[in-house]
Amino acid sequence: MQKTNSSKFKFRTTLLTSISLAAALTAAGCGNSNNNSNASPSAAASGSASATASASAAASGSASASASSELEPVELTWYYPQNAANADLKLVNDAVNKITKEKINATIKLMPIDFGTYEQKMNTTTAASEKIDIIWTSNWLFKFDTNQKKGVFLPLDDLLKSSGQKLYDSMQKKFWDDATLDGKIYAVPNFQVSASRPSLVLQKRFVDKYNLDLGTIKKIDDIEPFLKQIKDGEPGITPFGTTKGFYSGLMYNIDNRVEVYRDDTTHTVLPDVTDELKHSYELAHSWYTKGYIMEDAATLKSAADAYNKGTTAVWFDVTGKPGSEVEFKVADGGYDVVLAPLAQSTFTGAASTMNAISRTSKNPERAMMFLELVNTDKELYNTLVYGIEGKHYEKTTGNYIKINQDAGYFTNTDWIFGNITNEYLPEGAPEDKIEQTIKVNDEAYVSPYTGFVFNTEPVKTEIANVNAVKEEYGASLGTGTLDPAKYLPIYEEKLKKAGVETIRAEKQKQLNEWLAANGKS
Amino acid sequence: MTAKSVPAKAVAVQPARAKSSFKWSNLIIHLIFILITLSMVVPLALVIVVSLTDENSILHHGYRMIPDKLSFSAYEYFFKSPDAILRAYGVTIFVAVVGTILSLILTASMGYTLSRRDYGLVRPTSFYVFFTMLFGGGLVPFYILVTQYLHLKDTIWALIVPGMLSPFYVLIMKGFMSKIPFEIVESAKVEGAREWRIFVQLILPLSKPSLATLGLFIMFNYWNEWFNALLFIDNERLVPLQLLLVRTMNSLDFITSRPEFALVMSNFNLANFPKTAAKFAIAILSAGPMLIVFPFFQRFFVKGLTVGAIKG
Repeated sequence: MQKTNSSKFKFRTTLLTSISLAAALTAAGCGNSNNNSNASPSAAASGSASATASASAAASGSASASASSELEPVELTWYYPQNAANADLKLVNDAVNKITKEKINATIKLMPIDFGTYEQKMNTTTAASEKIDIIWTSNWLFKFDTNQKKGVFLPLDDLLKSSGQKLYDSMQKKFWDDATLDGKIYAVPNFQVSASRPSLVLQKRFVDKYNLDLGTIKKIDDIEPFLKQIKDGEPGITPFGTTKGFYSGLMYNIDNRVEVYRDDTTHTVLPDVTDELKHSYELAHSWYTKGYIMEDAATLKSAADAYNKGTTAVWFDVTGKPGSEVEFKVADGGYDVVLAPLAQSTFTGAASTMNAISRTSKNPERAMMFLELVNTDKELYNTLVYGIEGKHYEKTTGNYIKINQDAGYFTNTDWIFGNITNEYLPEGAPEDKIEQTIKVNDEAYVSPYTGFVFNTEPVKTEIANVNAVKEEYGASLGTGTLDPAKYLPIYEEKLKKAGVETIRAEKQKQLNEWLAANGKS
Repeated sequence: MTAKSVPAKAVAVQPARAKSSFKWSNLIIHLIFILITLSMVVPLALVIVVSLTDENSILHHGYRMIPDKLSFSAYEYFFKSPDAILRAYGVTIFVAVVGTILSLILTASMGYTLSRRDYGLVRPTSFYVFFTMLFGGGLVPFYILVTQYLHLKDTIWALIVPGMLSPFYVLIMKGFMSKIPFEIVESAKVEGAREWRIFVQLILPLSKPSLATLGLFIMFNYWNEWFNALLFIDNERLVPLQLLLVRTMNSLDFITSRPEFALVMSNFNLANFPKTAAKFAIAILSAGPMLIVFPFFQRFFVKGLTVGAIKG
């Protein structure tokens, strides 16, 4: 009896030892990093120690950098998305630091995340309040408005005045308007083409063959005779390619910010199913029954896969950027294309690529100085975009460079970093790319409702319901697979049940408030 | 090979048996197994073939067993800079091996403790383990724990530690070990063995089958793990294979599926890029080594089952 007792005791002690051992192990496991970042104050202390060290270093060579010598040296982190990891990121980062060290006495830690995982990664890091200085954001990836509401970004108005006046002056107000929420600027837009113009994309070989006069294409209906010619004369070619349909309010003089007719002085928000949309559905259905649209249009996951084969003669593109023929050619199996614009180009906003300063930044004014530098300093900007001269690219004539794609640094994303008018032109780009960009932005129609942001919070459920209905019917109706005469009433009925009117009323209400607040009504 | 030798032996032992009926049943069994094997081998072969097919011929003719044009461009893309992918293999192998060993030690010792009838806190401890199976802390607290309390960010341990103990495996282990007769422990004690000796020299060898099974599961988990790496690894040198491939694939999908992206994305030559073939190459690259490892493992695995079985 006693024996079992003692053995029990022994077993317990063993257990105890093993548990404490395990605990010790874990402690040891993280002891290493524990030591150097035990508590953030001490880390800060060591940071300042190294800061003084580098400050003295800077002081010893301060003759050249007198302007920055009074600034504390800091390190900034910058998260932004990229296509793929670059082997020479470290080298480029060092080159970038050399420039920034000299000009604003700061170093930058570049943190590129690939596009596919950017959203997830940033959601987690920002939710965990990680110390970040600059975050890339946009209206399509790591969404600007949602994250602003979460309080991820810092308002920039004061910072722009104190340390970024030059940056603020470098762009027109309409760009800043897009980065403004609740009356405050929260991000720095990257200047690039920010206009879109719904267009038809036509393969040039067919346009030439059938002598199509592009001048006669004023609205989408005008293309029908051409589609018939293709259908009759070109077996194996799909006359018209689409996946989700080809309706865009822009074609029918409907504003891009709110669904309101541009010349409507009463500012009435339109219902989801407009007369124009009905017309578009009918047109799609007639084309579908005539065999102009591919049969699996409604279920195709990505139209690009279909276009890639080069067997689609015409398709609709909502952006239709001037000069995008080169890109379309690539996505079209290598055949030349021409664009037939269906509407005036519209300023769609600069929100598609911006850099914001994080709420967790310890040095927001330095981050602002860096953003100003990126957007105004040609050398810094081009180092970020193209890498190191002589290693990753060679200067050729004028503003042109030759990129060596395999040298270890190839971003292909000039629009992530800053103002693209500072960039060198890669070989093959049109000579007037920068002038064109500025011109297109200047000439584009700017919505009078710029700055209005629909707060979806009060009608969240309705929006989810309506989206579900749209998901069910949208593509089938848009591609003409379903007969609108029969299914459109059902669709409208379901939309109504899902609460589409509630959303419209809420939007109207918010719009009226906004108009009143901004003195536009 | 083995399938053939079995009937031959059987025939030798029982020559009196009628040959024809024997053959028929055998033929059917063989056919069934041939079909099953084919249903597994053919898709795999197709994946291999497609990964080696020229992108344009995939676009125009779809997936085919016999491609009309071979191309290694998908693999060339991944091995363009072999450094990255070889290092990724290295990281993954290290994580899988070290992680599996550590995880097995933890799982076995925990399972053993829970399986001991004379351990007074069996119920609360079991409940504690079981509870974590049902409720987790959520992603953000997990992230905060690992980065701000354990300080594992950007270390290889961020890939190993989170997967080290799975409550489910602990319970499986417990179930297996409680089937080992407790008399073994008691008799060992009578012989003068202490707890460590009992665990290491008696219980662990007896648990070989379960260790092999769980080891395989754990190793697969570590091998396929990429989400932790996505969260915690910024250092390119520590990126494991799966994350590298997931990233490549996501980015590919991303670029091609978003019109607004295509707009801002100039001069990226999609036409020359082996998009579809690359996806299949990814499947081969990520599964390949495991396919080679598995048969070896399986041998131990079966051996473990027979040798480790409790006699008497």
